[in-house]
Amino acid sequence: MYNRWLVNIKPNRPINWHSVLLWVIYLLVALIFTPAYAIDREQHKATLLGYLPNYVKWPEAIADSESSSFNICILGENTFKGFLESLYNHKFIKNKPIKIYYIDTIEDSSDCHLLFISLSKRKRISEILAFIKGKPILTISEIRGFVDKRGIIQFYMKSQKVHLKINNQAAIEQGLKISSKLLAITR
Amino acid sequence: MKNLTIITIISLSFAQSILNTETLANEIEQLDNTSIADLLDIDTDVKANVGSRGNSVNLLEAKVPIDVITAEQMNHTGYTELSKILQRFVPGFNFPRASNNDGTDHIRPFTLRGMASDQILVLVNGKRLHSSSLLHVNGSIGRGSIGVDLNTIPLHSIERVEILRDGAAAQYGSDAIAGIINIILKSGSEEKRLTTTLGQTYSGDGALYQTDIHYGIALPLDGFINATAEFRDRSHTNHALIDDEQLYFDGDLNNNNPIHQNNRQGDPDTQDFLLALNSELPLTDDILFYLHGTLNYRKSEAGAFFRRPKDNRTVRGIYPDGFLPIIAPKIMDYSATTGINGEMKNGLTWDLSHTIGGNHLNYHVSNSLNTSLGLNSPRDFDAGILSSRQHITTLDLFKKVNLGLKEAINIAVGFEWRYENFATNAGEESSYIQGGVPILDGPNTGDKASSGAQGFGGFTIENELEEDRHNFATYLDLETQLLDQLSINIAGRYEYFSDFGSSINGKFSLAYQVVDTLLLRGSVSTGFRAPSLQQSYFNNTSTLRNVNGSLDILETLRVNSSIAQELGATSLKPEESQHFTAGFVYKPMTNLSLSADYFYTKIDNRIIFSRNISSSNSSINGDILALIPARFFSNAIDTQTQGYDLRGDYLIDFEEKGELKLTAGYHYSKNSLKGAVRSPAILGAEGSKIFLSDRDRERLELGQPNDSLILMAQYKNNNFDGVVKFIKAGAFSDQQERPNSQWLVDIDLSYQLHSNFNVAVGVHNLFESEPERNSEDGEFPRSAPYGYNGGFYYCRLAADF
Repeated sequence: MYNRWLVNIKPNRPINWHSVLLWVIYLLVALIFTPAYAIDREQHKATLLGYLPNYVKWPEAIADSESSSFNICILGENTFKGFLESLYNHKFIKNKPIKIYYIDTIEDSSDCHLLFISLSKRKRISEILAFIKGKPILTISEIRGFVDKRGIIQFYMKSQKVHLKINNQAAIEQGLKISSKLLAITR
Repeated sequence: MKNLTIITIISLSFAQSILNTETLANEIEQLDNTSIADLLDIDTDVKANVGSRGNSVNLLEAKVPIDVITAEQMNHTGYTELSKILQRFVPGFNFPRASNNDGTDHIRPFTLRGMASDQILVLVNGKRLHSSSLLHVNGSIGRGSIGVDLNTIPLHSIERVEILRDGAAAQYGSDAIAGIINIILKSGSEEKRLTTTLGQTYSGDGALYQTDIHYGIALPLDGFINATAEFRDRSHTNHALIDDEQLYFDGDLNNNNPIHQNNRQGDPDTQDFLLALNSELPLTDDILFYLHGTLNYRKSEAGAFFRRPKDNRTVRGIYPDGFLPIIAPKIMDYSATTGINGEMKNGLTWDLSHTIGGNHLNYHVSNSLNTSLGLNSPRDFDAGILSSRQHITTLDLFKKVNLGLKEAINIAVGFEWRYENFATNAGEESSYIQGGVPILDGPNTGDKASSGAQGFGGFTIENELEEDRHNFATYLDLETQLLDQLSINIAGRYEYFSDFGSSINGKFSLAYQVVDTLLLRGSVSTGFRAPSLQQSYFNNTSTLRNVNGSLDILETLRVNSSIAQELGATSLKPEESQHFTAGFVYKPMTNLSLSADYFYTKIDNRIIFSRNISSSNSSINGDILALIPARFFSNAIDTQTQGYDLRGDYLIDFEEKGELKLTAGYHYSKNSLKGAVRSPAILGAEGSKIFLSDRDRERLELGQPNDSLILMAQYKNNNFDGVVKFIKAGAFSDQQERPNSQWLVDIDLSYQLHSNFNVAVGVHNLFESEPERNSEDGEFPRSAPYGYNGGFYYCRLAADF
């Protein structure tokens, strides 16, 4: 009975060449243009790390110091894979060559200009921020409640975009001045 | 639009750095000249939480295929129901528009890869969502299954929907056979938006009014509470044919009156009120409290079959011109999850949660009567209640442990306890009794009249039941980067159910990065689906229309009833599945990715709903079924499903003039019976056809499109956003016929009038593509994947405040 029904039913249609043609045209049209794809999330955050210092002013004593490099420190687990080295080898911030340091303890942060505090350090965040209180270090993290705990810049994700929260008062207390342009954007 | 330029610059700088070039300074200088606003406006890669117990995974690096549909994409569709949106985005997701199918009209089932909705696990924020109480017992796609009602969740509460297209019962437990749908609710407090949508079909019916408000409140330490409230009112559509049969008794002059569209075929009238809430409150640096939930109250009305004036079921003293019974359930659906999570000093993270969920379907029938009550019959009835509840407590532990491998190993261990309950309550007495009044007039005067409310006979006292069970589960999930290029995942899960025993399942998956541009991935696993309480215990009497237009009464038997046992029914066992998937992701450039995945799923002991067993069956003792035919569930067949998915996405930059996103997805799958149908010996040679009739087999193997293709183009600039979708639904079979494939075109155009106001207009099915009508009765096929409402146009207003 079932087989008899199958006879009555049109067999599976052969390849629909209109569909195939549409596919080919569609892909070709796409390839002709110069497309771009959504960027890796950690790569984008790595880019922001090097970009945000342009909107921050360090105390003159630090900016004019003989320090031979601009030091970006990553405290805790490195989630940036190789992006930081790839982006910042042979680059300059504030006319100083960038150096990347990976540190395990906050006690090793004395030479850092920018300190990114990894999520793996969230349990010790209050202790970390207390240790560097008053020091001219730009602190950045994506730890929840970071700016409420006197961190300066917090990354957080909304949809597919990285957003910033800034605690300007904390920056002032660290001796840093954040440009009004950056503050305006994050309000 | 500088965003794409920036993305390209970043991508190029990274790519060049790999080649150890010395030219990066140029790109960084270019970045220095861009605004921070542009930089922050870049879309990063899409990640999903489902499929991995560790961190969220990039879709292009996942070991199994995953789709993600974002809130932005959903907002630009004009649809107000999640099931319809998924059908428009996910090739292989089917949401046919059942009609004249009792409760199924009001809680419509969806399928994925041709498999039933109860073979798809649905999560909200990673927590299991309960199924509806309704068992689909009539002739629709999904017959014999229950499933989650996705349309109980307000759309504007959703951040994204993740769809894992692979068996994952070894990780998540029962039901994850065809895949997992994980609905992530919006987090945060920033969004405050009011949205209103108005629309109707080209033919003027199906008017839609929908409005919702989403509002968030900030709590300390980045905590938040947000709520979404929605009201949706949709009037019915009707594509039934003109009733040209003789309506009145022979010789009645009324037979000369104009003929009418007496039946309804289409969408029901519905009014929905929906509510969703999501909140998180950090209690300490280490501990977070969370609460989320949804609530939906639905009033719905759909037509049963028209009772003509000359019909024996019509009391002509009440309805001299016949009547169309209206089945009008009131449905309450709710879920809530509360929990706390945190991290211990040794890095162990933990999550303890409790979820409750329930669905309460109260059948009402209006514009009807109980023929056996004669002229004293009420016209409206409370026909009884179906209800289901579940409680789930989970404890999930996760830790990264360094065992000297390339990377730390992610170890996840979890425990789950689940309680399920299903109950049926009788309707009011007049909805089901035999009142004793015979047929009052006409040629059959004095004959016994039909019992119960016409359209939907109420559940009787004998149908009443309350059944429950509990379930305990534990799992172990290991994931690590074994080599530079090779990552693996091994998972195992043990489950114990109080009604049928235990099940152990495992999964092994891997991803191998052959070169930077090519990722190979594959997975093998086993899975299972526990029989639902409804399949084991539901019993009912219903009215079905035969091909010749006559109406039959049918008894649905619980498998442990004495009659079912005499007919050879046995307790239901779990469905058991085996899965294999393999594919690749190819990224020849940072700006291009293509993926292809083959899949194979074999399901043993699949539970199906029999056809009608009656005393006319030659091998059955007529005493067993003295009066009416009956049916019940059985693990009667094995099936296999195999096919493949193709994906591709592009983003084209027009610099200051905007950007164009192109997306393409193709799905092919084939479901087929494997081996012979198993039926009780008492049914003899006819047994296999009783459990899998030709029509059931047609529905199983050919009733849904084997393939579907979705092409989408989205152009947007600073103020304008336009989306065009081309959708091809493949051919399918319905009642021995095979309507051709359909092409549909959807358009959504929106414009930002002001920073806070957005207006949009759009059309679904622009060219009014319709499925071919059935050549026998001229009606639309009821399993048409995109329905038969024709074109629909709408406008939408959104205000941020």
